[in-house]
This record gives sequence, C-alpha cells and structure tokens, in this order.
Amino acid sequence: MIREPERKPPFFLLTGLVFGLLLGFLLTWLIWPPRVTEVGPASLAEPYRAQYRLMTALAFASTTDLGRAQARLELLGDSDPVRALNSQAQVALASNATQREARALASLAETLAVHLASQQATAQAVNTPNPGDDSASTPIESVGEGAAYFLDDQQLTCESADAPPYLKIFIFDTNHNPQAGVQLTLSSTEGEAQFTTGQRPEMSQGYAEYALTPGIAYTLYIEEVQMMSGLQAAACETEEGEPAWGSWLLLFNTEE
Amino acid sequence: MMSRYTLFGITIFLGFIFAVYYGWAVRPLAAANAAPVLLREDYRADYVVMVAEAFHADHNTERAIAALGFLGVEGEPYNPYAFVSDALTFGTENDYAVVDLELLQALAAALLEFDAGFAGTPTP
Repeated sequence: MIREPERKPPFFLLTGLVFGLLLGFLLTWLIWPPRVTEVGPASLAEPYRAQYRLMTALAFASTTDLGRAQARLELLGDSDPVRALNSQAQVALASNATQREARALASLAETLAVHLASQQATAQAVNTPNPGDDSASTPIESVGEGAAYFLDDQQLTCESADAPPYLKIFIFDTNHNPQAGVQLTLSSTEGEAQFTTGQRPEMSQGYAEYALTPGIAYTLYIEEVQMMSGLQAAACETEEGEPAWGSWLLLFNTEE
Repeated sequence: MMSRYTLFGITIFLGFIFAVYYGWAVRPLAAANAAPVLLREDYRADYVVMVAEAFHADHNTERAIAALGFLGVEGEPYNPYAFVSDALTFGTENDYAVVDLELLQALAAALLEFDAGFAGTPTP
C-alpha cells in the first residue's frame, strides 16, 4: 500500500508574517520613529499636561468663562477632568509657593463639577416622563402651501410605562384607503429623518411610525409640504396610574 | 507554482509593510509624551491667550514670562515676546475675537515694557 506524504499546515507563512511584523515595528518604533511636528494637548507628556491644565484654571480665574475652560480641558482628553483638577490642586496645596495655583485649580474643579451635575440632572429630567409637565404641548397644525393632505384626527395614546414615545401616522387616499409610499420628513434641531408609509404592512399600508426623542420639537412634512410643528414627546398616565410617554396618533386624509 | 522560499519572503514583506504603515501612520509612538514645542500652531496660540487672560487678572509680567516658557525648548533660552507676537499674527489671520486680540496686545506691550530687548531678539 502506498502512503501519501503527510501534508503539513503552512506554518512557515505565519512565521514569515510575524517576522515581517517584528522587523517593521522595530524600524518604526525604535530605530526610525516618525518625526511628529504637530500634536494636540492630549499628546503632551504628563508634566506639560499639568501645566496646560493649570493655565486653563488660571485663565478661568480671570475670565470665569466656563465654556472656554471646559473646551480647553477636553483637549487634554482626561477621562474625568474634575478629578484631574482636584488631584493637581491637592499637589499644589502641599507647597506654600503654589497656593494661588491650588485655589485656581480647585475653583475650576468645583465650578465644573456643579455644572456637570446640573447638566446630568437636566438630562435626567428631560428623559423621565412627567404627566404634570405641560411644556410638551399639543402639536400645532401649520399647513404649508400646496398640501395634498389634511389632518383629520389627532390623539395622545398612553399604552405602556415601558414604551418609548412614538409618532404614529396613518394616511388615507381620496377613497379612504390606506396609502403606501407617502414620503414623510421630521425635522428638528438634531437633524432630519425621512421615512415612508407602508414600512409596517402588518399595521396598515398607510401606516408609519417614528420614535421621538424627549425634549426635542419636530416639524412634520408630508411629501415635502409642512403639515405640523411643535411635535414633542408628551408624558401621560397609563390606566394603572403609572407615568409614561404617550404616542401621538395622527390621521391624515387626502384633499379631494 | 511558487516555492516555499518565495512565499516565505512575500509574507515577511507583507508583515513588514503592515507594521511600517501602522507604526508610522496609524499609531506613531512619538505622538505620545510629546513636548509643547510640537504643539500645533492653533493650540500654541490658544495657550498664549490663556497666559494673556491670566495676566489680565494679576498684571504680573514675570509670571507671564515664566508661563510662556512652556512653549520653548526645555533648558534653552526663549523669547516670550516672539510667542505672543506669533499668537497675535495667528489670531489676526484666523479671526480671533477682538477681546482676545486686545489681551494679546496688552501682554505684548507689557513684555516690551519689561524688557525692550525682546523686540529685537530673533524668534528661536
């Protein structure tokens, strides 16, 4: 019986690749590193980063411009700028010669911490439904010229405490049949979203939905004609009395 | 069909090319732990604005000169006025706010008042 020669896996290819990689890294990181001529503050060595941070704090002590100080601190890329400022303030506090620096660093750390906490609280308040809050009022019908549709009905439905706020749109043609393929646009300060009816045929051919972001006001366009403005996620109470995000249900009919 | 030696050479070459690209273009080591002398021009100018802002509060020229030393090469003499002058030029060309330009001008004037020789010293 003739035995076939045993086929070895091509390990030499892997060896060659590793060898090439080692040679390359040896060249670029040890023998001939690239000459970097333009870096940002985040690439500075730690003692220089500390000086940059200190100068930011001293400038803030003079101008009290927190936005500018925050932008400068962001350039340093600290994962926790407040902690970095506080740590540096502690070090500066240890020496009599750097009391002024310590005060400036600590003051910026405190102001920034308060600002960040207030930002977080605002974001939390915006994202939590509050049925007593009337700031997200009923959307306004503001029809632009040449509209082919008209708003027949609008309702705020309150289904579940876990559901996100939705905009649910039904569009019917002149024969009161659901109309698929109608182009819808929602514009807001965050940008523009485009979608069409008929994407969820199990609901209806004339149905389209969009998850709204709480705290953002949208303007609705149908076939590029403005139909409604001030569309916002509105809070409501479920039948069980739980606070929830409601869904706006809008019914549009085609103009005869 | 290519011999084992040729294939071995090709894989070495491919590994080498990848490592050189990664080490030079994607993640150059020298970009970390850099000295301020390598800072990009706009960051250098903004640092000088910070010094000018701090100077506006305490009017301490010596302190401003020491702070500007950050932008020089460590251990070598530097001309603080040249840094402010460069920042002023950059700020004017890049539409800095008038208030920032005024702060830079005030710092430049204070440096010349402190030592008129700064104006004649060439930029390092």
